Amino acid sequence: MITFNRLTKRYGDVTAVDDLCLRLDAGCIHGMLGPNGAGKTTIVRILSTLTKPTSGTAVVGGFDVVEQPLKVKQQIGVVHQTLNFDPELTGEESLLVHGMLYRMSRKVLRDRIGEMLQFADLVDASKRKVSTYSGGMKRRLSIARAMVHRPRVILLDEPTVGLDAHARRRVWDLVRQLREEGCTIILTTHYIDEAEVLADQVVVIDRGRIIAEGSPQFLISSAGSVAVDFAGPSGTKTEFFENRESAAEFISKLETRATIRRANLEDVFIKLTGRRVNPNESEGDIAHATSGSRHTARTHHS
Amino acid sequence: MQQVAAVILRELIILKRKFWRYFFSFTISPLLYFITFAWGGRAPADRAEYSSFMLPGLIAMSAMINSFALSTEINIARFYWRTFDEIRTAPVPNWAYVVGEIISGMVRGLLAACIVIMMGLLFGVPIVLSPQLLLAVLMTTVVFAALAISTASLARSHADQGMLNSFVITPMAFLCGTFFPVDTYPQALQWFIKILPLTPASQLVRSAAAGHGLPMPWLGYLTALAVMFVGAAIFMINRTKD
Repeated sequence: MITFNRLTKRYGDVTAVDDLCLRLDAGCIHGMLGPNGAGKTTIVRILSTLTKPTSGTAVVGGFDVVEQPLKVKQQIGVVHQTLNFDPELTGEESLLVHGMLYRMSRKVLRDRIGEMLQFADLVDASKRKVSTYSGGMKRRLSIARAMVHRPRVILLDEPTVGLDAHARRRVWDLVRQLREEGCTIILTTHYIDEAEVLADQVVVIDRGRIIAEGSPQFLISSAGSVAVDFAGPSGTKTEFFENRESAAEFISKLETRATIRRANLEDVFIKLTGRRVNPNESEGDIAHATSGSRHTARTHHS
Repeated sequence: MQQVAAVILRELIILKRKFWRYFFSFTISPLLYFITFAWGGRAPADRAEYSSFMLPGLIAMSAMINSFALSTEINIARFYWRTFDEIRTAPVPNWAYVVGEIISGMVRGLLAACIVIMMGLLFGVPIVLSPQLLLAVLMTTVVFAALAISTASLARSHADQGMLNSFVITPMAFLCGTFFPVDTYPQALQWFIKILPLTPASQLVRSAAAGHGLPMPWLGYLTALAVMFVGAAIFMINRTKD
């Protein structure tokens, strides 16, 4: 459905996407996980034809994003990271204008707007100006708008940024519904739980390069299913184990306090890069991952 | 055509929701210019003569300013509301976007010109309302709406937009025959002023408002400018997309 072949994007001296080769299958939620600045949004912008790659190709549904941008645009729906609505338009008018941009017939469009307002649970607010909507409502409207023209591929760029827990879960429900309708979804996020809960396949990106890919379960088990956090001499350290017994044995030999927990995608990232996906949430210097972890990261980069 | 209609619909909804704000902004500047220059400190006979000279200039100037104001709206859409991205990710050809925006700009320019005409009628200034006058105003709005799209795509921030207005609009508003006949300027300056797009616009509106026909050389020049600016707008939007 979507293929990247040696895709590279440079902004001056900065390489945002570096020699990306990837194939994404249809009908799945593909999570792109990485810290801010990893290149996720650049990938979405290239797929949505807003940015031209420096070299390499990206193909959506058989159409090249550079050579056949209009064909690509017909196949995709984009939910931008920044909410982009005219505040003077109502929710319904926003969907109407969007559908007209895709040359939908009046009757089909009218029915589809009704469906999408229901889908996003915005029927009651449909006649209100978008400027009166909450952040969560705007996000839901944004997803509904991206769906109006029945695209085969939906690009969701950090769709839950700035939302509270309840609003995030409602957005997650919508994303799952999109998959049930047969859409291929590319979801960029720097939220670990979001990638774990929603994605069928995860691509972990750092500094424009893929450092790991696979199902969340596969990636987590490859890091070690169980993690032990403990206080080291220069900050919090984490060790990974295949099972709880091994972890418990390790803790019994420690002289400091330790926490045992299920490993997650953040741990995968730490193990590969020595850094957190969300550095602001760091409790200590995570650069002190085990030497074995660092070796793994280098192996992936090479 | 539906994509052109989508672009226009969006702009017209905004115009409708903010109608009174636009109405007062269309009214206040020409009214102040009219009171200050045509009425202030003039004897009644002189006042009537200068009013009938100035009103067509004000009509052209208002049509210019308010159709060119489209560039500010486009840049607000680009830099602030980010709604331009929605257009760019939709399969909308450049020409459809440009035509839609130009028609939106024409509507604003035409509304502003109508307000100035009504203001003139209220002040008792003689003016001939004719299809030629309508054509002259419409041509003016096409030229400046197309110019607005080209210049908007040059701006890289809101601050640039203010500079564009200062460099493009302000000199024309004062030089191109709105307040004084172009012939009263030094010969060397006249050539420069006559090249500026508001001069042919002003000449056409002035001639039509006096009940004369539209002078063909000026109409030809303004039409050529319209074609050139529409082409430039499509080219610039294409470049912005890159």
